[in-house]
Amino acid sequence: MTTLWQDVRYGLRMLARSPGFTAVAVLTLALGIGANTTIFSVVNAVLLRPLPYPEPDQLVQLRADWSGSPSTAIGSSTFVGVKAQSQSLARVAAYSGGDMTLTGAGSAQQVVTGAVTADFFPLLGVQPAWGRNFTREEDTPNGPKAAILGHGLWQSRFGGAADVLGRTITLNEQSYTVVGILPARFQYPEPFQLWIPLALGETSAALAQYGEGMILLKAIARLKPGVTLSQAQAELRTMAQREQSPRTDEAPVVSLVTLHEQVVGEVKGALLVLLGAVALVLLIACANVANLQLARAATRQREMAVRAALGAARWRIVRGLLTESVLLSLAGGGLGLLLAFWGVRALGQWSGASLPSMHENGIDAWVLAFTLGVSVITGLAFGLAPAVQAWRADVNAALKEEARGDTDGHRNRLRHLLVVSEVALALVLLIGAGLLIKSFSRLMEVHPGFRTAGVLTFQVTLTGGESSPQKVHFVEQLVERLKALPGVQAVAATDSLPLTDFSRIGVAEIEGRPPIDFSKVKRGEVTPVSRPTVTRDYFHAMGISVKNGRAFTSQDARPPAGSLIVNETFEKHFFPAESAVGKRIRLMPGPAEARWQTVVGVVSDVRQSGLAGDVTPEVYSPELEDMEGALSFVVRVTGEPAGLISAVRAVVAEVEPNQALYNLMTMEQRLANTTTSRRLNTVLLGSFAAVALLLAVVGIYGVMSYAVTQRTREIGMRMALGAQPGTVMRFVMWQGMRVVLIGAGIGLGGALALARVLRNLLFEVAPTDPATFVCVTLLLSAVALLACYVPARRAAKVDPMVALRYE
Amino acid sequence: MITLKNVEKCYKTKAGFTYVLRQINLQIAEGEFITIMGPSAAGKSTLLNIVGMLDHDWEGEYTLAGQAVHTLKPKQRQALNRQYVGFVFQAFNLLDSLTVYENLDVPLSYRNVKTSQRAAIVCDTLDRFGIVGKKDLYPSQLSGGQQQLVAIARAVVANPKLILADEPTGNLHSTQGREIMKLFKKLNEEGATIIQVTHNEEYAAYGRRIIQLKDGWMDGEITPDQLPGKAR
Repeated sequence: MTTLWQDVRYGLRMLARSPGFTAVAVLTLALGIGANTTIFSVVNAVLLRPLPYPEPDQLVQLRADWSGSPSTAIGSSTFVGVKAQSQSLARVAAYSGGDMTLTGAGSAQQVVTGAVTADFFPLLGVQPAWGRNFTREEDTPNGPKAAILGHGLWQSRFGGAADVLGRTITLNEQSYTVVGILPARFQYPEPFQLWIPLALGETSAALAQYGEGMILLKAIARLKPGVTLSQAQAELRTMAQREQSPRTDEAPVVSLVTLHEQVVGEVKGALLVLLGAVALVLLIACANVANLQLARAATRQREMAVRAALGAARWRIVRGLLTESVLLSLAGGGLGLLLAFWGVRALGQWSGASLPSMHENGIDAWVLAFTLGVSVITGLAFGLAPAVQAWRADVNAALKEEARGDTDGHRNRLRHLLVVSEVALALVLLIGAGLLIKSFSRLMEVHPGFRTAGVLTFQVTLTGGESSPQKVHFVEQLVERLKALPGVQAVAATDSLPLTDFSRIGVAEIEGRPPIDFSKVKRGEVTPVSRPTVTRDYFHAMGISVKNGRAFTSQDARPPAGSLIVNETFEKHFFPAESAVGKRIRLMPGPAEARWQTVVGVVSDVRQSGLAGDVTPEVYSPELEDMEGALSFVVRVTGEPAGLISAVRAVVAEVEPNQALYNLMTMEQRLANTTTSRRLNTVLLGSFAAVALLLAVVGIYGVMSYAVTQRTREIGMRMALGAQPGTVMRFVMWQGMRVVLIGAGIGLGGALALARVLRNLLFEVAPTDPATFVCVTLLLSAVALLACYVPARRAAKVDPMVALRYE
Repeated sequence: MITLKNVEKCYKTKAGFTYVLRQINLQIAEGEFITIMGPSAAGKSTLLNIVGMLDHDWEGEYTLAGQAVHTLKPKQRQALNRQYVGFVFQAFNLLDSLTVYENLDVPLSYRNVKTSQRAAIVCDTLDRFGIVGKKDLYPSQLSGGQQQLVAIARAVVANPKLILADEPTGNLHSTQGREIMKLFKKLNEEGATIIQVTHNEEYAAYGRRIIQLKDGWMDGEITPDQLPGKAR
C-alpha cells in the first residue's frame, strides 16, 4: 500500500512536470469520458433504472396486433376475457386516457385524465399518499363519481391544501369527489394529472352497449410470482385457440410485453447507437492519449532502464506507468463529469418529449460509478501500450541509448497502428453521422401536404355534455370570431389535425361494387381509410391544394348534402383509372343504414402522422355533427402567427368561459416537434463524429509531427545529399497518408458492417448509401492530408546544417 | 564470489553472428577491487551488464555467490541482482523527477524494505556520504561530482555485496574523479566487492587486478604496477 501511494505521488509529480502533455491528455479524455457519462446518464435513467414500482419485472402491458403492428389498444372484450380466464396473471387492469376540463376555483383547465379500473393502483403497488384507492362500487357504470389527484395537479391547482380530500370538483361539467392524492414520487409512463374510475361494465350485457361489444382500452397486468413472460404468453395463445370462432381472423392477436420494454422500446435502439458512438469516441481518445504516452515513454526509456538496474521488478515499473495513466484518466474523468453535468442539462432541454420521462435524468450514484469505472478502465487501456513497451524493454540496450533518439521500430509501428485504429473508428462514426444527416435532410425535403408557415393551431376538448347542435354552434361561433381578428385569412376546425394523435379510421364501400361482408372479411383484405371531419375553409386554412373538383361550400356542412372530399391516395387506390369526383361511397363503421355520399373533390395528400409516416387514403367529411374527440382549430394569418396567441385565448374565453384550450402553437412548431427525436439523434451523432474527426486529426498530426522531429537528422542528411524540399514533403506526406488510407479501408469495412444498426433510424437512405460512404471518406482524407501537410512543410524547411548538428 | 566460464555474447545480423564477448573466463573473490579496461567496443560495459544480470542474452556459465546464474530464469536473476548488486553509471542516471532523498529511497522500495526501516537507512546513508543538506534537492540542482556521489550512495544504500561501476568518473573532472575513487576504495575496504570499467589509468590503479579486453576477448590481466603510466 505504501509503495502504491509512492507510485501515486511520483505519478502526480511526473504529470505536473509535463503540464502541456497533461493538459492535452486530460482534455482529450474529458471529451471522451464526458460524452460517455452524458449518454450513459440517459441510458441509466431510461433503460437501466427499473420502473418505480414494487417488483417491476412482473409488470406487463397487453398488446393487440390488429393489422401487422402490435398496438397497446386492445378491445374491452379482450380485456374482460383475459382478466377472467388467465391463471398466470395475478391482476389485470385497464385504463384509457383523455383530456377533461376542470372548472371551478379558478379558470378552466385542461387536465390529462386517466380513467382506470379499481385494480389499477393496487396492481402497480401504489397507495395514495392521502385518502384511498377507487372502490369496486365506484368502478361500475353509474357508480359514485370519484377522482384521485396526481401530486403535481394537487400542488398547482389546489396549492397542496389538505382539505381537498372529500371536496367536490367539476370535470366536464360533472361533479367528482376527491378520494385520494397520489404520492409525489409516483409517475406513470403516460402524463396523467388526474385519475377517475373507468367504470367499464365487465358483464356481457354491459359490454354489448358499446356497439360491437367493444371499446378500445389499454391494459396492464402483473405476472403471478414465479411465472415468466413466455409462460404467460403461451397461456394467452392457448386461450385464443380455445376461443377460436369463425371470426377469429377478425380478432387481434394478444401478446404481452414488459411494461419497461413498452416504455423504452422506441428510444432503446437510438440510445444504444449513441452509446456505441460515444464508446468509439472514447476509444479514439484512448488511442490519442496512448500515442502521446508512447512518445513520452520514448523520452523516459532511460529512466525505466535505470529503475530496472536499481532492482525494480518489471511489474513495479509497469505499475508505476499504469498509475500515471489512471491518474490522468481520473483527472479526465473529473473534468468529463463537469462536462456531463452541462451535457445532461442540455440534452434534457433539447430532447423535449422524445425521451420517456419516467425518471429524472441526471448524475446519480450509478452514473458516478460508471464514470469512475470508465476512467479507470480507460487509464488502463491507454496506459497499456507504454506499459507493454516497458515490459518488453531491453535494459541493457536502453542504458546504452544515452542521448540517442527513439529509433525503436516496434514503438513506431505501434504508434502507426493506433493512428490506423483512430482513422478507422472516426470513419465509422462519420459515416454513421453522414447517413443520419442525409436521412434528416431527406425528411426535411418531404412536403407535408400543407403549408406550415403562417398557421396557428390549438385544441379544445368539449366537455361532453353538449348536444350536437350545441357543438356545431360552438365551432361555428368560434370560427367566425377568430376570422374577425385582424390579419386572419382563414379559420377552420377539424377532429383530425395532421401531426396529432387522433385519427378516426373506417372503411369505405364503393357504390356499384360488391358490399363488404364483415362476417367473412379477413385481416388485410379491406383498406382502412382515415375519416377527418373538417369545416368549410379547412383546405384553404391548411394550404392543402384541391387537385380536382371543388372544396367544401357552406351548403355542404349540413346533412343531407352528403358531400365528401378524398385525397389523391384514396383516388389512386379505389379509382386507379378514373376520377373519384362524382363517385358515391358509404363510410363504415356508421349507422346500420349509412347513406351514400358523393365525392365532390380530390385534394393533395397530407402526411397525417408526420413527415416519415405513410400517407393513407383519406375521406374528408364536412358534417360537424360527426366530430369526435378533441377539436383542433387552424388559423391562417398574414403575419407572424405567434403574435396572435393572446388574441386567440381571449376569443375562446369570450365564446365559452369554461372552455380550456391547449397545445396552442404554430404549425411549424408542431412539425418541428415530430422531428425532435430524429433531429436530436442527428445532432448528437454529428457532434460525436466531429469530436472523433478532431481527435483523429490531432492524432495524425501528433504522430507525423513526432516522426518529423525524430527524423530531423535523417531528413537533413537526405537534403545534404541533394533531396529537394518537394521530395521531402511528398515523402513525409506519403508516410502519413499511407497510415490514413489503411485506416480508411478498415473503417469502410467497419462502417458497412455497423451501418445496419442504423437502419431503423434512417429515412429513405440505404444503410450502405454509396454517396455518403464516398463523400465522408473523401472528407476524412482531405482533413488528414491537411494534418500531414503541416509537419511535411516543416520537414521540407529543415536546414541540413542545423539538422546534422541536431542531437 | 564470481566465476565466469566461457561466457560469450553475440548479435545476429544479416551478415551472420557478430561477437561482442568471446570465451570470457574469470574468477573474482569476495572483497576484490577489479578494473576492466580496454578500447571502445571491447565489450567492457557488456561484460559488466552480464555480471550485473541486466543482460540475459549470453552463453556460458556464470556463478555468483554459489548460484549458477546461467540456470536461472530472468525473474530469479532480478531477485539475485536485488540481493547482491549495486550499479553506478558514467552518466549518473539519477531519476530527475525525484529528490536526492527519494533517489536513495527507490532501491530500498524495490527491495520491499519497510517504510520505517527505509527512512532510517536513507538518513544513515545521507549522513555517511555527507549529503544530508542536499536531501531535498533535485539532481539538476547538484554539480556533476555531487550527482555521482548521490549515485554511489544510491548504489550502496541497499548494502550490496557487489558494486558495478561503469566509467563512474567519465563525466567528472580530475579532482572530483579522485574523490569518487577514494570513496570506492573506502567501500572496498569496508567489504564490498567492486568491479569498475574505466579508460583512465590513474583510476584503474585503484583496482587490485586489471582485466584487459580487446574485441571481446580477454587480452590479459595485469596488476596496477604493470600499468604503462604507473600513475600511483
